[in-house]
Amino acid sequence: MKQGGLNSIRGQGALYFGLFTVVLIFLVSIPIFLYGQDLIQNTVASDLLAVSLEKKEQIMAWFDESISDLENLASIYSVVIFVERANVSAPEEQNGLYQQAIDQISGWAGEDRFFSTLFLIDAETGQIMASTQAEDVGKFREDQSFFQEGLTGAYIQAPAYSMETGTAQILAGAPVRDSSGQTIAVLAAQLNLARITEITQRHIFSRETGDAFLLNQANLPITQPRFIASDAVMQRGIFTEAANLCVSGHTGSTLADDYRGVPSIISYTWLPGYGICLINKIDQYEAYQPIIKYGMLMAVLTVIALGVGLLISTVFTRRVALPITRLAAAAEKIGDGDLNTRVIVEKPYEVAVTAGAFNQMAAALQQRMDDLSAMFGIVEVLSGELDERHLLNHLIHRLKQIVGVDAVLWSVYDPKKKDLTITVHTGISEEVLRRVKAAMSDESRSGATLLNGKPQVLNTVDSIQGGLKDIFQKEGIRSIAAIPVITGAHVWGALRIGSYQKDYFTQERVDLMMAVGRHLALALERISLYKTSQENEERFKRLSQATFETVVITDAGVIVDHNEQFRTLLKGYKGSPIGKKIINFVHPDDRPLVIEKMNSDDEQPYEIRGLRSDGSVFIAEIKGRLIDFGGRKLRMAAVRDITDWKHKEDELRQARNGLELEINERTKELRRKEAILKSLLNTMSESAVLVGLDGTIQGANDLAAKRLGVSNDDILGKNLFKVLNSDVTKDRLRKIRSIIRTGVSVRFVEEHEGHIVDHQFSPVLGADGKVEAIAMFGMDITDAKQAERELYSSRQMLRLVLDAIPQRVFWKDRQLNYLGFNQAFVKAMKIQNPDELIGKDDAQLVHWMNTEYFQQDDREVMESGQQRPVREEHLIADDGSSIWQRSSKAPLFDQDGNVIGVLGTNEDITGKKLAEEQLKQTMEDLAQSNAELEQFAYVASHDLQEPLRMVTSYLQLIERRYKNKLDDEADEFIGFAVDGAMRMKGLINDLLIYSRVSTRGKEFEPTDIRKVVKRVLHDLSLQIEETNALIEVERLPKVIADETQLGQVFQNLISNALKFHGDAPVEVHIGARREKHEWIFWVRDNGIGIEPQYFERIFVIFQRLHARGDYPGTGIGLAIVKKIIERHGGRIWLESQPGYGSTFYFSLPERGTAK
Amino acid sequence: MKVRFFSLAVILLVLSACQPVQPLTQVTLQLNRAHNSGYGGFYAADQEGLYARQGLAVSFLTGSADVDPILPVVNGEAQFGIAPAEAVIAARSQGLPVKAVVVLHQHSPVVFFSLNEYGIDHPEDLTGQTIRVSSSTVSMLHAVLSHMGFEPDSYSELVLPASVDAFLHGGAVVWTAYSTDLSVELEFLGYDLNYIYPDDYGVHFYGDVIFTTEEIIENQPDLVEGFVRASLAGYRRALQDLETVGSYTIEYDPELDLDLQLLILQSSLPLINTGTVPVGSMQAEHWQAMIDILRDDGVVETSLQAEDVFDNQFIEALTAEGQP
Repeated sequence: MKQGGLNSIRGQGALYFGLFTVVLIFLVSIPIFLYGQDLIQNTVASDLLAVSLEKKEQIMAWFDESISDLENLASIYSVVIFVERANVSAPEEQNGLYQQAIDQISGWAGEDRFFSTLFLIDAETGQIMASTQAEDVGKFREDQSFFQEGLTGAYIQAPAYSMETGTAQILAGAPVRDSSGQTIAVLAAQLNLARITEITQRHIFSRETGDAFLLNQANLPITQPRFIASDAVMQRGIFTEAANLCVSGHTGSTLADDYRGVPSIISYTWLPGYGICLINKIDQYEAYQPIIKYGMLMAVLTVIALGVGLLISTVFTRRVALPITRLAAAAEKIGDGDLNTRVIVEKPYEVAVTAGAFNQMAAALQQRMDDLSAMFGIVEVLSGELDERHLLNHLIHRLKQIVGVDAVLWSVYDPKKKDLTITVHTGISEEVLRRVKAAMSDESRSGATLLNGKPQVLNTVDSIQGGLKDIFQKEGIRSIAAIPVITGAHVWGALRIGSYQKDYFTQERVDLMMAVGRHLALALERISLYKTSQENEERFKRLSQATFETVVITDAGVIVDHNEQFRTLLKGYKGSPIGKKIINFVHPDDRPLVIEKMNSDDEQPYEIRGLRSDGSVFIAEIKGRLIDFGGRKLRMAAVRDITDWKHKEDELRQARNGLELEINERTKELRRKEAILKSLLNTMSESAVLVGLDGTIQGANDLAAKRLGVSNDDILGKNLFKVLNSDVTKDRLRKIRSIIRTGVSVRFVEEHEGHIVDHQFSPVLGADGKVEAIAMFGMDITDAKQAERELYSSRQMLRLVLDAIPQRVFWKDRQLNYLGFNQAFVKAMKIQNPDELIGKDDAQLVHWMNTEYFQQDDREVMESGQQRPVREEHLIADDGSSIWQRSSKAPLFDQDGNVIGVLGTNEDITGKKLAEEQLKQTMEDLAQSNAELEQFAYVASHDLQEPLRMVTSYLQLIERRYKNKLDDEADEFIGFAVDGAMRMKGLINDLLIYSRVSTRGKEFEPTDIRKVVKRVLHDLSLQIEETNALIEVERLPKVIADETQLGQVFQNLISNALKFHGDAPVEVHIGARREKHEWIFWVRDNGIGIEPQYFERIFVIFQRLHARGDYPGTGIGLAIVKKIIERHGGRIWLESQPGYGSTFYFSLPERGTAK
Repeated sequence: MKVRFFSLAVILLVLSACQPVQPLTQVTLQLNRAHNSGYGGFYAADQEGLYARQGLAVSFLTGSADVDPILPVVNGEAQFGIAPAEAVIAARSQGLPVKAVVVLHQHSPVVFFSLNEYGIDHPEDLTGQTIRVSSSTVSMLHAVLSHMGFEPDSYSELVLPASVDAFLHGGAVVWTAYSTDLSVELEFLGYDLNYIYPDDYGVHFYGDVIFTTEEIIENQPDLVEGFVRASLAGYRRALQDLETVGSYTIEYDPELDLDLQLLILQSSLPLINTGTVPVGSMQAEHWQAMIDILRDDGVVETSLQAEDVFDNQFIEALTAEGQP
């Protein structure tokens, strides 16, 4: 057991003292801790709840304010008036009026306002008629409660998910009522959640783990919870205990896990009437921080108290433990053998008593040790001796010396003879000996003593009756004892011991004597057995020497005996084999076998190789047997030398094995060669058959069997000539047979069942040069023939194609010599015999200034290994003139992918190039001229305006002042002048507008044509009303354009359509369609139509088809339209038939590619 | 003491092991599309043992535009099916004995969408257009357009498979499809889309519903209740933990893109839990309005009534318990 640790007095003292301290501190601090925690929890929970209730008030106040504002907006006079007008207006005007109504209050909607959107809903259909968010117009909200409830009074709908925005929305509605109080529309709003979010998150976010959010009645967040990383609004469900309590209409606070599973203090507040739950929370860990700090302080105090306690307990327990430690040290010394050690301790009392007992114990141990050492002395005497008399003599003297007895004698009692023999004695006079012997032979004391095996002790001889008493007294012997010496039932005798001391034989001494008696008995038995074995050994030795066989006797593998024959077998072994291990005489490889046999009961003979002393090996047959030799288990082996016999047997076996091996090798070689030949034949792409002179097939590969239509297994032994008979003509068969005679091969090609086969029959000559057999080989050359034909035809085709194309094609080798070309190339080279070109290079064929250019180009293409893009080249022709050509080049590869040359094509584009140049120049001139013209028109019209205004003003002044004051003719002339001036003013204005199409055009930007047309129709509403026209507008796209100018286009085209009408009700159809890369727009009318011959003229500036009186206008509209369309990169045209209306088409390139 | 406690635990364990094990009832659910996270609630119920707790072992049959989800349920190959509400109405009007037991999507996920560059914002923009339809969206298209007063010949219809490739090259400018499906994928790929929501134009259809046969409702009400209970609990799990539930989808089709599946599930959940009505609930007026619209459109020709097409008992039982 360990001396230290918790089991020591010090350890125990420290433990109990420490425990006491800890329990004491815990008893004091834990109630304080729990009380503090409870206090904090209540404080935080009340705090959270108070904050929640405050927020609840603010949120509800915000709702009240929002709904009150909405009601006020719905009752604004101008809003009501516009809605009223809209409700009684024609459908096409309704939207505009509704929009005007919403425009009155649109300032109330926006990012930092109560409402993010305001919209007006038709009270009957639920359709949104106008909105601050244009894309909502036209949608229906007839199923929504804010609309249904909003028809009768202000209402806020519970928060819900908006599919369009993908987030939460709170919608409210309020009735718009006319003067009679009837609901004429619903003013609806989407409440701005930014404010409500701000209220919700107030205060709480200053705490590290604080969070506050709103949930709707389906547990979905309306505001984003702080610790959910992804967007959770309306997309994540929060089903915590607090959330579930809250959405079921409760308000309170609780200790529970939050949505992250973290223990928290949570307050939850239900906002009745709005379907909203407000959650405020903080992690318990953060809330309990003050009390956790207190807990830490307590822990530190506990550790300090524990340290002090341990110190005190150590001092006290040391005083108790020191004497005990000394006691322990003394015990350890005794344990080490120092039995004289004693301990003196005075206090404490309990330890002093223990020390006294310890000293007594040490003294007793000392006595025991003395007895034991005496005993060891005697046992030592008994164990070594083999002579009985010596033993007994030695013993009794040792007894006298060691044990300290005064007289000892050894008596042997013969029960049959009833005779007591005393063989050895000491300390006894002859007289006493005689008297003792006489006395004992008379009585049965000695016999009885010997037979029951118990000692007889007389601690005083005074009690002995008769003469012996006197003799003992005379000799000085005061006490006697008889100790029996017995093994099992055999009585060896008795030790009789006398002492001069009275009461000498204490129980311990008697026990010691009895032990001596037992050891003596064993020693006597051993001596007896030894004698017997000596005799047996002698008898056996004589027997083994008498046999002819070699006999060896071993005991546990060690040779204990052998006969002379064994020495003969070992051939001159020096020294005695006895005492040596038997396996030393066995070949190392056979030693395991010998060991195994020696450890078993197996008596079957076995063979081993033995080792002679000269190192030679002999083969021996061993017959072993276990024998009982005087109680010892010995192994006797008869050994027979069979070396000669064995050698003969081995020689015979080897001769037979050699023969078998040779036969096997040869057979294998033959089979291997046959297999190689067979597989070689089968790997051939030709069919192969070996035929004997009589036509018998002696061998064939699989292909041959297949071709001949015979199965693989059956082919051998068949007659080839018979098999061929049906397929081959007799003449050919005869030729084949002639090989036997002539020794000359025969070959022919034959087409059979769609296969072309090349047959060859050859003689197989024997060693004597005579034909021994015929070998037939057949190769299927169908594919090769087919490929040959295809190659020919594809080459023909390639040549035809090359010659048919107008481009020049040529190809060269790596050294840039021409290898081939097409007809166009030959023609361009102006050469009569095309073959002359082959093998020549550019230096010999083209203008010297181009040679290096072409060759460098060829080399680059070959080096890059890739096709060169098409390019235009400006070159010098052979006659020195300048030419253009378009060329491309590509490397030529062989089958392994190596570049072996170059392929080129080119064509002369000189004519085309010149035309392009001319066109470009013309276009530039035209653009320049146009620009100058436009500038002129602009300047002219702009600068003409001022003098014209003066002319007109003064003419009008003359008209007012002198009308009716001059003659009638003058009045008429003045009238003409005023009219002319007015017309000129109109013309100049138009001209200015026309010129501004180019000079004052805006940047192109995304333009919604639908809106443009809508605006134009609005502007033309008076004209439309007057003509009672039916306008149909199809779906129109968004394009990149100048919005104002496109407005002018539609204004002109629609205005024309309305203007040039016939008697029928006016119908105008506006539409668009998409074609390849452009949008085609059209304006179709059912008006008077236009004669085809005027299709071009109408687009010319100031060209009119009708008298000014019939249709007003200057005739510039379509010219402006054309110019605008052309500025956009588009075209304008028309389809028309007089009397059946016109359709004006114009195109606009997609995505504003035009400028 | 420890030994005694341990022995007690062992005895309890052995006793519990000796309890007879209730075999699970095999149930098959016919889906109306290929595996996708829109079915996340069913996957959650399967993966998290919610079905097993109801004594059910559920296997799934995937659907596609070519598979009518109604017939396998009528024929008994599946016990439950998912189909658009209008498909159940149409089946019912043809005399097939099926009824909806849960409305999965309170709003139909069918929307009309087109590339933003076409400027198609309103139903009137649909005239003259080629519109892609499928068996599950054509009724909705007809309903909206007929509700808006368009003639059937003012646009043309084209049947195309719901794939990005078909959208880009199939020849249809406007597409009708589930907002929880292809459009999510297209936006995921960066295309800017314009949407027209039928809900905005007076067509308020339910979306997918869970349906079964009248025979199963009558003879195995416990089976239906267990299935409905576990499935809706699965969707509640999806609301709580979108990422985990979304990732289950990959168990059913390892080829799917997890990020896209999370977006699909995210876009499905608001249709399921709108915040205005209990999850799964059904209103007779709503069904009746659908039937009336479909009758106007010629899909329903019989005197079908709302109560013929749905059975609210299972949802009402769950709602009464405070679930889902």
